Amino acid sequence: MKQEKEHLTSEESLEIITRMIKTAQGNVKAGAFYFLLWGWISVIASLAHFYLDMYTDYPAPYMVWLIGIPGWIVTMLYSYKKASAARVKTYSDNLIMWTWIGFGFSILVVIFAGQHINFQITPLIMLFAGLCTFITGLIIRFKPLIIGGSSFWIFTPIAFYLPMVYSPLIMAVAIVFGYLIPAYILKKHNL
Amino acid sequence: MADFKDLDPLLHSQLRLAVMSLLVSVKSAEFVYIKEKTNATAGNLSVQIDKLSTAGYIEVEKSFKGKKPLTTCKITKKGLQAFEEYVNALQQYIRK
Repeated sequence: MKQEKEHLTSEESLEIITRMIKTAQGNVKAGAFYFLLWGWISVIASLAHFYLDMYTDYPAPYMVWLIGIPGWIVTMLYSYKKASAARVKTYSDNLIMWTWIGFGFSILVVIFAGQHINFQITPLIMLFAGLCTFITGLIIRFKPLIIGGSSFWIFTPIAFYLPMVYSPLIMAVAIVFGYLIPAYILKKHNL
Repeated sequence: MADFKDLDPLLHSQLRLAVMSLLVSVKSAEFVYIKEKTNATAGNLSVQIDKLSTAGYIEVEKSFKGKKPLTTCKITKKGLQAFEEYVNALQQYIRK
């Protein structure tokens, strides 16, 4: 497109429009980082939570979730760095960002409402995590993530049904299916 | 072959159409990004962006990224409408 061409045929016009629109799709692979980071944080924290609750007398096993704090710091630094390096802002990146910020607010509500919901915090967080993963998968049109997000609709009722002590264990399994497997596929996938 | 007199002349040009097509699909894009995706020269692209901006089809914001000047472009409502009309007119020509 070195020289400016003023006389285009309708086919040429259409070709330009479709090519440019395709070209503008964001780099969805970058999202794999967040799913891997939070996937591993959640799996480790869930398993530690389950172990402490089931096999030790430690009175506050949920404290292992404090490892989420460095996770938040890494997430904020990484997304800030990404955003300032990005030369284009896409609508899909924006939608995904707000979906997960919404997730953050939702889980805060769940955590602080703990005593009013019989401390069924883990299954509710799973439900929100699944929904947000499902929406993210739809936005980037990536099937493994859509399926991964949907799997939470199976794991969450199981977590509600079983005694509460098993919730973190179910959560760890759900995260492997819902976050980690799709994220590794996404990382490898050439979109 | 039908003539294109009804097609918006501002959009019916290779580079300006490419810029507009790129901008309809994103929230905003930096000058260097548009330059890379359209394979245009900086000089030519500047001229075409100025034309689109003067027509009110795009919004150009100049700022700094560190010490480097940064030009960010974004489509306006007027630009989006013009683009839609252009595509509609184009479809009608193709149907003929």
